[in-house]
Amino acid sequence: MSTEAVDFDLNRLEKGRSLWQDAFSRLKKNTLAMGGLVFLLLLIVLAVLTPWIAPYSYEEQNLMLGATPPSAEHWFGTDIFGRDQLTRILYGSRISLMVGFIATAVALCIGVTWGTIAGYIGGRVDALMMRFVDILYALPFTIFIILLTVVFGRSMLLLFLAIGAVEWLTMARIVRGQVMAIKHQEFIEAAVAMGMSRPRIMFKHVAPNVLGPIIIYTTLTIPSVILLESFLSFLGLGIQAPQSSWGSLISYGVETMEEYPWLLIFPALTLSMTLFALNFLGDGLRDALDPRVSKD
Amino acid sequence: MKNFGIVVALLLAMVVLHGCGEKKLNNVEYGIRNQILYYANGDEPKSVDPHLITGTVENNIIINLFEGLTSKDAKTLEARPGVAESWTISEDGRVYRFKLRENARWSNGDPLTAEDFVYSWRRALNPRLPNAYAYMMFYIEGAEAFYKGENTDFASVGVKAISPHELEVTLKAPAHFFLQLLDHHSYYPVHGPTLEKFGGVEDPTSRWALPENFVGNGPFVLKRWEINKVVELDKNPHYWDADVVRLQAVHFLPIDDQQAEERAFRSKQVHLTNTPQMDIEKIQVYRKDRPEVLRVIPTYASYYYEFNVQRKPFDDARVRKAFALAIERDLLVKNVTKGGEVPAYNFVPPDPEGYTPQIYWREDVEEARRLLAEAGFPNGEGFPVLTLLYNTHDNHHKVAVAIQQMLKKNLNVNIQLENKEWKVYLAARKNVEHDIARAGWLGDYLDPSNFFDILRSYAGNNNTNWKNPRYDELMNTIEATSDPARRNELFEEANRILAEEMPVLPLYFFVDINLVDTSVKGWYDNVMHFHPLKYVYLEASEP
Repeated sequence: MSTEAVDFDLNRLEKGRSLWQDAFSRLKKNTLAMGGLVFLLLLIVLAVLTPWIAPYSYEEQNLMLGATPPSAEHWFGTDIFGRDQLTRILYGSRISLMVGFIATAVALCIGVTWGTIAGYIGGRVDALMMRFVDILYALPFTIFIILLTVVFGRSMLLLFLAIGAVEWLTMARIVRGQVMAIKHQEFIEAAVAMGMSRPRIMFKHVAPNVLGPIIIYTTLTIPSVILLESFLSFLGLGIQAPQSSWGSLISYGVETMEEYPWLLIFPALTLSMTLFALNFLGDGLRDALDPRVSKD
Repeated sequence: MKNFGIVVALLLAMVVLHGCGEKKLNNVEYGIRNQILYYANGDEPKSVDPHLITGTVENNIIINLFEGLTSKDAKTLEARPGVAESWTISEDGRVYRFKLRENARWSNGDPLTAEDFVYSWRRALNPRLPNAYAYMMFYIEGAEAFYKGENTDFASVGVKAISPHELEVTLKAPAHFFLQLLDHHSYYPVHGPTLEKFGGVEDPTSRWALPENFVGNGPFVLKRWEINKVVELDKNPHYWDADVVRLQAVHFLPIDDQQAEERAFRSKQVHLTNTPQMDIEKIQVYRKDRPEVLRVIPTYASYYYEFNVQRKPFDDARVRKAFALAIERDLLVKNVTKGGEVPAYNFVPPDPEGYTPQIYWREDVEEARRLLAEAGFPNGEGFPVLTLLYNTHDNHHKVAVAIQQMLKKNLNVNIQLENKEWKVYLAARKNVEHDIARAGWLGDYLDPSNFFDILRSYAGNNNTNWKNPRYDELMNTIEATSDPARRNELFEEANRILAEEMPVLPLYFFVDINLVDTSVKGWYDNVMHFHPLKYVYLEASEP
């Protein structure tokens, strides 16, 4: 028994463990984070499969039926047009998750690159890049999005890009601050001394070391983006009826919460559970990815 | 211990003061005490210039700021003396001679004379002023020619000031509703010197109708106007009949969200709501719990969608008809609007005074599909995605969502929904930028011509681009006809043209559903959504 175990360990030692393997093994020990991950994966699977598994059509109305509380046929009840609430939440998750992830990914890509470059190079380049961010910050967000939609018309893709293009600003600032903080640390200086190229240092050594704050901020961005979409939909800029998103379901649910509480409760519950899952996962990931945590 | 005592005293003081704060009067109680009416008016008004406004939001305010020659009775809608204290009508029903009150005054104290009316009507008919209601004055002899620029001499128009207090009006043909029509805002007088001071009669952006410059002749004057907050009216001390006006002030609140409106009423922030419809889902609750404040009144008004008939494929009457036939109105009124609306198969609502339009079509999905196929879109194939425009409002949204789905289900046609804020929506409709737009028409006077006239080729409120010479001709003939039976025949012919051409898609006839606190007295229900505040007052209901 004991020799076997030692052999196994030796094998692993030989192979070496990457940051990600390391992180995942640590993540696995975090029950909350794993729970969040499982929930999210399940949600994504459901969202992808929605067209095949949804019990009803999301747009077909049954006006005679109207709003009914949860029942055996309609688990989450029906809305005032007699549409199945469960189906609409499922279809809504497709849009909301897509907006959440794609827009956040856009924000992440631009924000991290921008922030890393500005923070690492510093000096005039930094000043110039950050003033640009300041200018965009000063632009009223709603007007900016409205302008974009007026110019390019209403499309889902544009919505993702527009939200992402606005959300990266904070990301860039956070990353820049972090990069400034670590760029004079020894391991960077070592890399410089060894003659690594600047881009390689930036993205191989600097960026991974600011992952913690990035991940935290990302998990915060996803929910805010999901909510932002609902706000834009309300303005008539986001998704269009009869499509649904969680945000739009909630905003209509709020209006009738006294008469038909289930129209608010279920989408709100789904959204908040997703946000919890994202936060737990983000929390776990940050702990797991932090390279400063000593390896066990 | 001393300190402790101070702390206790302070805490007590806070509790007591807090209690006082809570007892602060709500708007309803404060209003009853001071005769200030808080009025939920649905939206931000565009203007209070009587020759520029088009909507009910504006009309609700303006009927209190101005007074016409006559003034409609709030209960019966009969024409009663207004600025004119009496009048005579010639044998042939064409010449009206009004005797104006000697004590009629503008709100700045200036005397109000017959010349003021001549000046105002001349302005209302000025072709360079974007007055959508100019055609309402075409009953007057020569008015149409003047408006169209065929005659630039206003002396040719049948309005003459015989003396400072005598006005003679000559009509093209007798119109039994003319006295009632005089209480319409297009006939209201405006104060010449003020207008001249702020850019003259033709300037639609003139500042004369702003609170600091405003001069009117009604029971109230414009006091304060804060955009998106309040339009405040004060009692007009110079009004000739100021003694009977009991309200000291009125606050019109532009609450465009129905939930917010209903909550404002429930928490006693407003005395009443006077908006086209209230929150649908709340109707049942009020019916059950507080029937005494719920007012449901059938209205002389039509809810419809207007096509832009120049936009393909709506240039084809078959497509328009297919749309009209594919909508299940019974379902719509019973399950979506839920207020007791009447499904409409005509543009014109049945007239309480006699004309009942015939029905030429009903819902017929098969026929609708056939028509659409005939127009080149079998099973909706190849039909472009068109946009339905409506003003941001919950009920309009609900109706639009239901109709979107009916068209999809019955015709396999996809339409997009687009909502816009009131002023933007009005502008888009006025310039006919839409494919299909929601519209509503509330009778200005009790006669079918009020509805039919909208669709004349040149009418300022015809937002469809639909032009039909035969229809225009009919309207002209109706104008010149006074025999009621003959008029009804002509109306029917016009109605048949509309049924064949379908420039507008009738949906239902409105009911007015409003909440009115029991402390509001002198507020009467009528079919025209007409609620002047001259005789309204507030009185606490028994405890």
